[in-house]
Amino acid sequence: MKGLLLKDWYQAKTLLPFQLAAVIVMMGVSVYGWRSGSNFFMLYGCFILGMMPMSLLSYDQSSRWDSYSGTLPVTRTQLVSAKYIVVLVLAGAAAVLTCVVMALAVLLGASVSGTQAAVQVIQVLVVMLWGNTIVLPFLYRFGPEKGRYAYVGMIAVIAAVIGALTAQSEDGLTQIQLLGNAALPLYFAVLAVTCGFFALSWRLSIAWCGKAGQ
Amino acid sequence: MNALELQGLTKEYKDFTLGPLDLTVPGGTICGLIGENGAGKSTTIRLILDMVQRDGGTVTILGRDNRADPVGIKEEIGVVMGSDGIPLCLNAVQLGKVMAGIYRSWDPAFYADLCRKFGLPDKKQYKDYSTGMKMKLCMAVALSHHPKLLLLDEATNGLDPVVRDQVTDLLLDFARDEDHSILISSHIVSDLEKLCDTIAFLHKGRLLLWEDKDILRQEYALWQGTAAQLAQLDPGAVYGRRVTPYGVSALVRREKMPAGARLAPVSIEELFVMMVKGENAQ
Repeated sequence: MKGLLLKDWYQAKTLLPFQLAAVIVMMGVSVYGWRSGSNFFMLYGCFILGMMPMSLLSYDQSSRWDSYSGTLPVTRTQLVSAKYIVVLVLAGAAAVLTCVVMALAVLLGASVSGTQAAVQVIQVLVVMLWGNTIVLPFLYRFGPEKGRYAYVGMIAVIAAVIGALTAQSEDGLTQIQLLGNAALPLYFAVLAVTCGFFALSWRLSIAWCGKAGQ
Repeated sequence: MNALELQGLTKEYKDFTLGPLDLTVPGGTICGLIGENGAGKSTTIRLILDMVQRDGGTVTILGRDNRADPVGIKEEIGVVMGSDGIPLCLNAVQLGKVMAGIYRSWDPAFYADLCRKFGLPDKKQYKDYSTGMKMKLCMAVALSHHPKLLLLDEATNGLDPVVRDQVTDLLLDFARDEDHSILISSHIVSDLEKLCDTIAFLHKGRLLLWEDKDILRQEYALWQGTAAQLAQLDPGAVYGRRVTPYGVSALVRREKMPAGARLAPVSIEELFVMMVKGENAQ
């Protein structure tokens, strides 16, 4: 498992600097966006970060690591778990970046309450986890090529939902509240449900891992 | 103990059926799996590793069913699948660290020695390696956890004669230990002729022949004559033929030939080509 995570780390470090740079730029822009009440760039940065596991799986396919790993003393559970751990690490990183962005926004004069901060972090985690919850099993079942279409389709659906929510928002396009003004416990409940589906997705991916090449 | 035993191994695809295959690789030997492109060599190796689900038969590796303890068995197998599978952006040092986190018995000093011996650069990414360098790195990875069985799929293809010679020496050195065995597949028969103790011919998913290399050379021979002379031979003695404007060459079984017939030794490559032609003609 350690070797699998190390491989993904080396690949991410070498192959995805532009993706990482884009995330940092988005987060930087969102510092100013937050002051005007918009978290669009923050969520967009999370989308980009959420694509990393998919990119890593694509690289696995292009180097045929996905096939070669079948010759190594690792189980399917370990292969899949490594990718899901990457998602969790990235979600954690996104949560930390969100906190940093909000702290910087406060330093620049924005007002952020504890509840707002918690809601924001939960939104980021939900966005990060849902993307991969849906896409990763598809990638394992159909391979990164077809799985990519699933991810694009999912982004289109989420964009449509965000668009609809934005259109109804009192603050217009600048304010994106995925869950409206629901109470904090509801946000935690949504996060718990998301984590449940993430775990189900992990089990499904283990069951489907290797099926694309059979 | 046999390093590898295949019994009635079968796999069916829509347009191709492999097997049933019966093949044994005794400990301390090198077995060459020869076949044309698409004969089923890679599928056989994937079935051995349980990377593809078999439809029938058994695979026993180092005395254990390949499904009984797949992780434990793979700790004792080194695999090279051409030059594929190594992440393209990794360098030799990074790859060594990755493998150290995967194999319990990984030997970093041995790996570093092999990389040095092969002249592999530490910091160059795998994608920038030449074909020969890629193959040497794959070999270093396959050997550095001290496996007992090596499975090599088209491991010498595309190599220049110098690198091929290096790889051949390395494999011969590995097989010198009685506990070490190799199954190597290729369609480049001349490489296997140098290396192998036993040869298995795979043709359209069927095992045409599996025999000790020296016995093959003793049992089969090349006969040359005219078409009229060929017609007079026992048809059961002729396994394949090549007709040219200058006459006919035929692959024959020595024991079935009349006394005094002029026979020439046959190389494994000729044996394979003639046998496949004979099969195709049927």
